[in-house]
Amino acid sequence: MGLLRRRAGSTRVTAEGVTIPSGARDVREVYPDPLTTRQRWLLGLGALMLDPKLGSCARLHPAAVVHPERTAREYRASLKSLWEIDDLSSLLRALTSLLRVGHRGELVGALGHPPLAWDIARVAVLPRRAFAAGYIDESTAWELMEAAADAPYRVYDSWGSYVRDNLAGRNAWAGRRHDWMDQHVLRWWSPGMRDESPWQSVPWPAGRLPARPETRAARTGGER
Amino acid sequence: MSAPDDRDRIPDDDLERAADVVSLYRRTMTDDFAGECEGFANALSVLHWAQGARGLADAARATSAELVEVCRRMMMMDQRRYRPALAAALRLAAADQRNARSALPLARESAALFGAAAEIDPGERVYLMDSLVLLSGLQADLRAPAEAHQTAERALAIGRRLVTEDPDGYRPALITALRRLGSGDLDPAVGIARGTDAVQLARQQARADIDSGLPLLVAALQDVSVRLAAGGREADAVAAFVEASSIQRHLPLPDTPDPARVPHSPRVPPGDQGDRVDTLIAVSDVVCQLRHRQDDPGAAAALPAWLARLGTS
Repeated sequence: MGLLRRRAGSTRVTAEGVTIPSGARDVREVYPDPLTTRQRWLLGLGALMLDPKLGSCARLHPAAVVHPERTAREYRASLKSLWEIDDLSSLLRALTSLLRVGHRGELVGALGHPPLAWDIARVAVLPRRAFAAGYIDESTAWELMEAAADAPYRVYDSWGSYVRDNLAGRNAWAGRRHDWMDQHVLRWWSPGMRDESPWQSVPWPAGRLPARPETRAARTGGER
Repeated sequence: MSAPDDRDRIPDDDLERAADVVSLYRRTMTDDFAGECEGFANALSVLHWAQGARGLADAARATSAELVEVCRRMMMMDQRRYRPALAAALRLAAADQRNARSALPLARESAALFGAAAEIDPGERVYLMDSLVLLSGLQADLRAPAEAHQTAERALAIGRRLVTEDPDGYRPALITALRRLGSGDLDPAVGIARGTDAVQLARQQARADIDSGLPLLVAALQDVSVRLAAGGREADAVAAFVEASSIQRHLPLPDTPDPARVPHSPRVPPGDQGDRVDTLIAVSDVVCQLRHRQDDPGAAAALPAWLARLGTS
């Protein structure tokens, strides 16, 4: 990799400043295939849930740096402790709960409207984390993330209005504004993230969404 | 997180109005219980609904407990007339309880009263089914699978008979019963079978009445997807969830905001960190939109000015 320079020991640093510890790899090396516009749009819906210093929207896997053993273990631990997700069934239960109820109804009193973006962002990011944890395969993750795709573009008119409502919902749910969450927003909008951040590089759809990727049902002749 | 509920959210001020009406009744009840009790019970029901819609679980639990006491007094006046009202109040109170052990006797009494009422008025059978569904879920929670199964089968037998008599009228109630029983049953195979029945009935309902049928079909598919995955049928589970999502695309999500009510301007006081973030979001958003529309001469001309503003924000 020409982009990488050597550091003392076996740690590497990419041209973007991402430190890659010994035994770990840049997510783009592990998953070399680039994403479609539609897929990058889906990743953008959940981007606020990722720390841009550690997370990535370059690939489906939400980590910028992937360690073959440690990363999946860490995602399993966080999904279990934060969401009680430890398999496909509990993931589907969580997604269904967010789509049906979420937090948006409870937050009407605080914001004057239900902050749909806060629930949708989590629907968009949980399948990525479940993929990283090894609970689902890549095509399943994309199919589940499609559940988040339609509602936001009917409600919001730009990445700006979506992100602002996502942040407002998150802050109202937490009961306060967190600096680190603001820092996520600032970094995803920063000029240095122009190519990686979907908010900057993928247009908000006007009138219709970017085309859907080929689905498993289509590939198998729509057997259901 | 509160339980899924298909009731419309009520305006914020209705809770206060409902509480005012209950207060007015409380003042007159001591003088004329017999004359005012029905109105008071209705007012308590409305207040309970408003509290539930606002997520005020403790207040709703207190209101349903008071409603049970009022309905008990009413039933002492006229057993036949007020038995269904007490049965319904008990079901509300059971559903409000924090744990299955305290809810169980209330649900059991509700089912017994609705059973007695249904012998006199067959129209009460659908409410008997609902109480049995609740009771079965509580029995399952308390690890009494044999009792839970027996109660569920009794509920479903009633529901299936009702659908035979009036398919369009009672199919939605049976679908809901099957979904709840399918989600709560301890045996995955039984849960999947009930969930699959719910999906098939919801498809029939969608063919008969698309407006009521599609939301039921989405809910039934989502529920059965969870059970299919738990039963190891992962491909079927994902397919059911994906089908639910593709149908949902044609329906509004519950609690989807009106686009006109979503604020597009900063909501935080000027000068703090939030103001900087909101400004950055607003400016960055415009810059990116213009960048994507560079084939538009007007937009392209405005881009440098916006970039300069972003640099100084």
